[in-house]
Amino acid sequence: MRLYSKYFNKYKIPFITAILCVALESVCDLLGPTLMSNIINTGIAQSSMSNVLYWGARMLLVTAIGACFAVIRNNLASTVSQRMGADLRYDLFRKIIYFSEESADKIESGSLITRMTNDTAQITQFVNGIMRIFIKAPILCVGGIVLASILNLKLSIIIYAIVAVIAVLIVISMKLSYPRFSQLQKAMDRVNSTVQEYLIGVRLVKAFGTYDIETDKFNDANSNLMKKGISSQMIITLISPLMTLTIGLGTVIVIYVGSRMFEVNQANPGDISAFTIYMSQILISLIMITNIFNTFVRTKASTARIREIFECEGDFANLGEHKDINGDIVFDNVTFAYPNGSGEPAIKGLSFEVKSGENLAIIGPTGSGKSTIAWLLMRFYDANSGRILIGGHDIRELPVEDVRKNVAIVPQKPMLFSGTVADNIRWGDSEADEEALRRAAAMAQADFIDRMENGFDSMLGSAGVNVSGGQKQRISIARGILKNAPILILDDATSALDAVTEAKVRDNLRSGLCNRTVITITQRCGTAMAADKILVMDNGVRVGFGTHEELMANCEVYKDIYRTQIESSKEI
Amino acid sequence: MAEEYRRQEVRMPAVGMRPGAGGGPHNRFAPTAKPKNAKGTLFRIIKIYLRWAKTIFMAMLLTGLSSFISVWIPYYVGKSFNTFDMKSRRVDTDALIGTLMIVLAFYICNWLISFINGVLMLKVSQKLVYVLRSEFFAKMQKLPLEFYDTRSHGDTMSRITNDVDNISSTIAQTTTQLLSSIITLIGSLSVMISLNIPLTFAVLLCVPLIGLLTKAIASRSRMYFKAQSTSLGQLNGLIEENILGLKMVKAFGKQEDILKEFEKINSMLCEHSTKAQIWSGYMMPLMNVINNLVFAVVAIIGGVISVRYGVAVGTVVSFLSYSKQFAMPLNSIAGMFNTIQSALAGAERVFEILDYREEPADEPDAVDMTQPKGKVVFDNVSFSYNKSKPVLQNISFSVKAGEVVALVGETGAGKTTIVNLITRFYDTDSGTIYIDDTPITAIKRSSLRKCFSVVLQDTCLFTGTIMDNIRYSQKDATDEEVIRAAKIARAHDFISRLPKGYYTMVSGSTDNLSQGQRQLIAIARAVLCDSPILILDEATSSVDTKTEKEIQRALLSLMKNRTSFLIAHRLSTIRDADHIMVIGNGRIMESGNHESLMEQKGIYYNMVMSQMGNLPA
Repeated sequence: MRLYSKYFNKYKIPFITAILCVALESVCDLLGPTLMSNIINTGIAQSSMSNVLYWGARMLLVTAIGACFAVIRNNLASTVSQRMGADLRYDLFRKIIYFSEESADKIESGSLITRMTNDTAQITQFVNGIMRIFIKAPILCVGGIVLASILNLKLSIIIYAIVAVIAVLIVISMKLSYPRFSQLQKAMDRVNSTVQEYLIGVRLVKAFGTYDIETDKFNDANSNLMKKGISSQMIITLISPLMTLTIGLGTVIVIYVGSRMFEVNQANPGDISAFTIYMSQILISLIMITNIFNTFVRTKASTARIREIFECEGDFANLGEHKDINGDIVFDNVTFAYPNGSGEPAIKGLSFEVKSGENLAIIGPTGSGKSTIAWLLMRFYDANSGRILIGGHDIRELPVEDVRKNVAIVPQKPMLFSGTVADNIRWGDSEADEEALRRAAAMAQADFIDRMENGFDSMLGSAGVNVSGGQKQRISIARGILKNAPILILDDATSALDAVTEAKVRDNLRSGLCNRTVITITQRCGTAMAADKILVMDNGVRVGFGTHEELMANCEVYKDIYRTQIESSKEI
Repeated sequence: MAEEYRRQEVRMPAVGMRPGAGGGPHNRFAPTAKPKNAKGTLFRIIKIYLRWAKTIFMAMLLTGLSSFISVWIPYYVGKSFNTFDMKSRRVDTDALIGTLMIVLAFYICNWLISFINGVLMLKVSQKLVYVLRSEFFAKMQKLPLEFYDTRSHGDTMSRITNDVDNISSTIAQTTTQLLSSIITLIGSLSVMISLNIPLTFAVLLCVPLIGLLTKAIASRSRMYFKAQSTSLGQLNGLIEENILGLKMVKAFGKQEDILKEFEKINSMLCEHSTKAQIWSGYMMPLMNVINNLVFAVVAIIGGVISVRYGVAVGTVVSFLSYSKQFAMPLNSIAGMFNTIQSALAGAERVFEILDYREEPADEPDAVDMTQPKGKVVFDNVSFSYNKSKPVLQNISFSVKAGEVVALVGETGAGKTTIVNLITRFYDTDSGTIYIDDTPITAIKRSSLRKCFSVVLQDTCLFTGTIMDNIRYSQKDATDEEVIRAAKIARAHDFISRLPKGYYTMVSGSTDNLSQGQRQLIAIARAVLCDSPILILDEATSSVDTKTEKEIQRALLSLMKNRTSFLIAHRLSTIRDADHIMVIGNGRIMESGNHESLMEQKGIYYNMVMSQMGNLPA
């Protein structure tokens, strides 16, 4: 819980006040039955009106005071827990958004999202709970026992026994239930994954007509879930009525033993009636405590997940001297393995050089390390050995922000954000004017924008219009162009465009951005052929570097790619 | 966008409560989803429950009985105090034991009843979920592909898991609770009236007080809860988008802008949630005040009555218990209606799927294809996924058995649509498709399926062994046949190099196989199926050159003697086709073989030239 001490310290005073209020509120609650027994003993039993009024007024007063504490506690608890929740969310989000790429790879984004949403909500609820029932339940339980003992020590022995029996029942049922519930979770997950697999493969199921296989698979998982569902809840179904029975038995015994003691002047009817109330109050608080236990287990899991985020490494510090940078790129004997990967280097001893304003194409099969070059160039990771220079400077000696400012990337998957088309393109340059915006869009062949109902102001994202994969790619290209960085990387960014549109985009880039270094990562030989220089990658190693003609003359891998892609397949 | 499905987390109910009872801090003022047609949905659920009519009826009866008995317990507990004679300090022991025996009998009865009832309800509700899920899944099998293409997986999954669960657990349990609360209320009221009318009025004092309290709190609280859920939605949207696009956030250095936006929504959310919680949090302590107030009033009036008119102490004690018991169900009944409402909304989401239009059944006179040859004819076919945007317009072509046809064109031009229509994943809007001169709508679906082998763009493997995965297309194939198919698909080599060979476990997500290897398995699957028509939708997309060659060789041997439809980006794969069709704007723009199309110098020519690195003219 050390993780949260920062937040507790910030809200120390209201937090402690709230806890104090709960404690006092609980005391007020506890006094109720005792006051009631006084009403019965000294008032009703002795037919004394003044005593009834006296104790009745006391009871109302205590209740009113209790309510005051409760209201104060409620305001404080809500405010503190929500503030803490908001602070925690903010800190987490800031941490995530400044994650090093290594950290971002380590935790799946889906999991990061649930941690940001569900787990923080769980913590907020827990903090709120501390200032509500977590303090109250134990006080009620212990206080109930103590007050009952004060009221009548001999009679309270029965209460001890009853509480012990109930506690044993609770422990038994928790012990038996926990493993069964974790099995239930597994059964649930199995049904989920069966359905998910069906959804992903539905075309195949329909194409092959394998309905029976799928039905069998599902029925199997489903009946397993039913069995686990019944067995997991059976324990509680059996034990809960037993607890009510125990309390009933206790009530009967208290009244009977009480009657014996009444005859020898050791107990009053009021005490006995107060006892029965304390007994059910103790039962309720015990149930609350098991509830707290359940919440605690969940909160612990949430905390562990949140801590994992906080313990992740942040991005490289923004240190180093600011320098003007041109588009020269040098890779000098760079070797790099993904920190969370298999340990096998994604890039081995890679060296190449590109001059400012040149066009470089990187070609090679999937997994050959093409995209890795792009991420290294933007310093998303540091190389294990070797140097990367842009504009003649080692990127580790430049401020990270400067490095990324000087490289624009158009990724494989065009990640767009909700907002208008213009907002999305302006990610490249938030101050760009209308004209620059249109120019970038035109270069990316994104003429479809003008045909949209609201043009550049059309909304994208869940609430907005649907755009096709090819259209997204063109918006993403426009965004990269608008950034106006000396280096532009297109990472297989035209895969959803048809050959003609792609060629036009390529031509626009060549004529419009002649002073920038453009790196095109591709699998298509036709795309690579047009570049000034082509880097051929295979399995993390440079297997060729040069112009198309040079490579056709001396690079086997490149020749192979060319033949399979451009020439007829009959000849292989 | 991220999947909206969240893994359903199993929660352990608190011991001492019946499973599901009061499960979760469902806040009565939090906004709940409203059912569109509450009455109809409710009737439908009742109808489902009636399949277990006997058990349900029994359970209801037991619940009623148990609540009825519970109502009497305070009465007899109170009565036992009447045997105490305060003046003589004597106890009428016989009468006391008699009364206590009744109390004890009641407790034991209740224990037995809740025990039997609990087991009954547990079994029925689990059985109900089971049956509903099976029906849901059976329905999924009959849904047209259109359903799967237009709905997110997450949505369908949360319907079959969470919403189905809701129908059973929430509705069953809340209804039982509702029943028992109402019986408790009515029962207590009648016992109280029979005991003492003035005291009953004192207890009833809580009704208007609770009403006033609820009214005062509800409107404020609801307003803030609504605001809270709006800002929560906004915040979650922002979180999701930026975490999924984190790479871009970093690449474009947008961190501070996004944090500013986050902070804005976050503090709004904090404000709304605090207020919502404060207002709804007033309910419990103030209820407590009302409870104790009523308690004190009962005690005072009881005191007065017993002093003046000599009412028995026991009666007053009973009343004190009733006053405590009375307010609780009153408050929870209101909450239960809310819960039921949101469960009904969930049920509607399930029923929506169960009512979804199914794939049209086979025509009564549909035929079985015996020995299909593989001739395919499109006659004036038009099709659109949604009415406003036609995808194919009046397409006609014919393919002789054994020919290889290549479909080329921009993404979204309608190539895959043609595949969807031949396989009858979708039905045409107008026009007819013939296979061997029989319209496909006149062929039994099961028989039509045997005409095709498909290798799809996304190679999809199911959890199981490689053997099972290849056998997927022909479930009674022998191991030898599977291996022969794998050899033809050139998958045998790599499979036998795996430590467990054909018995290697694979799944949709494991990455023990490369993309190319997965594709080879998919091709082996198609080989095993041995159908006269072969459909390859971008079957060789992103694999290394060596594997690609392997795959192409495998495909060439597969295409022999089969009618084949090829969809490919790479023009080299298709230039040897007998027939190339360029699809665009919903029409066939050009068709012919490679040489004739190159001579035309039209669209195809331009595509080839630009793929070769030359600019279009």
